[in-house]
Amino acid sequence: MPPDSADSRPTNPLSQTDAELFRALKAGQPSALGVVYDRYASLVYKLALRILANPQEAEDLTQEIFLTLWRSGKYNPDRGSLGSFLTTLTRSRAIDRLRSRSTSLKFLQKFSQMMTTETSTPTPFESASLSQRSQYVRDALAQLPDNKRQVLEMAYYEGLSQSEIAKQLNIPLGTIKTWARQALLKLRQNLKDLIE
Amino acid sequence: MTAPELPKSLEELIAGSVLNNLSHEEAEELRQLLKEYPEFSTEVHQLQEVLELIPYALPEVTTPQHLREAILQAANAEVKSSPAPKRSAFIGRKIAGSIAALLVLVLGLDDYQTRQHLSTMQAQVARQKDVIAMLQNPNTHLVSLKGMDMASAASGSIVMTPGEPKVVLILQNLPVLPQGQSYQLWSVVGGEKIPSGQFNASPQGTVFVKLTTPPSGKVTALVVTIETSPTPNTPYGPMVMTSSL
Repeated sequence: MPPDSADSRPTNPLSQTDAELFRALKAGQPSALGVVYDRYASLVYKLALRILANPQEAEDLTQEIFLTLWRSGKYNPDRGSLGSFLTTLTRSRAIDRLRSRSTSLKFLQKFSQMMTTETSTPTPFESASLSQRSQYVRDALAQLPDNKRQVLEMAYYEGLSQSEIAKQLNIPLGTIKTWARQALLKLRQNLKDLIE
Repeated sequence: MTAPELPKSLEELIAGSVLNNLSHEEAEELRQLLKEYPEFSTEVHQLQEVLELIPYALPEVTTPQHLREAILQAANAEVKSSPAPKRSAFIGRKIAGSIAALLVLVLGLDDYQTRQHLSTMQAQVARQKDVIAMLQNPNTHLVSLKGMDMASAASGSIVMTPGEPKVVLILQNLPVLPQGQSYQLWSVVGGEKIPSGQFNASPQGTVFVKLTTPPSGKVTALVVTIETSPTPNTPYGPMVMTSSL
């Protein structure tokens, strides 16, 4: 089913789905990389900048992420959305740089293990423009209680372990774990109609 | 969802696994439950996807304009180039990756306190740019240095380009020396040690300096000693780091 929101993607006159684009990319069409870039660069860059807090490094990492996609073809459209692949890879490599740990390989293994279900037609979320998607997630996060959202974001952006978060916030470890889990489940519930 | 009903405890365990916050016992419990109810494994996938939606909510920032062109040019260059240069480019990027990781360590970017030292950081960024410029040269390589004796915890690398006299030394965990002593780098050429610059460690035990060595094609090893003379011609002090090229 082609997304009917072509007007919301001015940079993509062809309205190709991510899966179609990735196939073109794998076939070695640089123009497809341009379209993927227009669609996701701002997401990758803002995440890299959020974690690394350094524009030059964020820029380098953004380049690395798109060239990894271009070069390795590790992404498998049947196993998950392109957006999630890119954010997972960006976050993993950014935290990797921060902590100088080599978790990228582990990430790829984890990603391939995790992403084992079929994806067929794009979800309403995937069919939306990037700015619409951002708004959906902002709204969904805004509905979480502040403390739970904070714990979830600390775990996500800072790569902190739950015990590090517990220490920083001076809150018992068990509580932190429960908050993070509940926050994630609530976030899914808030986004349910869009992602299923 | 394929599963009609998901027990709340299982749901929380799955969330814990996606967040990587399960205890050993909980992880085992989840493994057993998923063995018993494999249909719930799609939940793991779905929650992982939800977690990865979080960055969409970040405020919009302007992506640097030149970046698109730079990426497309690099991709195009790879299409045109033969497999061999592709490999060297990959190694270059690997080196860039390890340098970046090392710089992060040396500069302490993961340390919130150092964010206060912004002006120092800016000077360091300028030096990082030097390193990045060096790394753009496909012949540039990275040689690791290992600590010994009183500096056994020290480690790091030297970034060098054959034919270029300038090298960049990036070290960590070096003991801070008492006043009157300095670290001295020596380049071994034809069995002889040639003085190649002095430096000191930061209070955090890190070093990030640009030094001049003989043309690196001739250098067979690098050595760091502790010296009292500011311009020694031959090493007197103890050897604390070595590397072979």
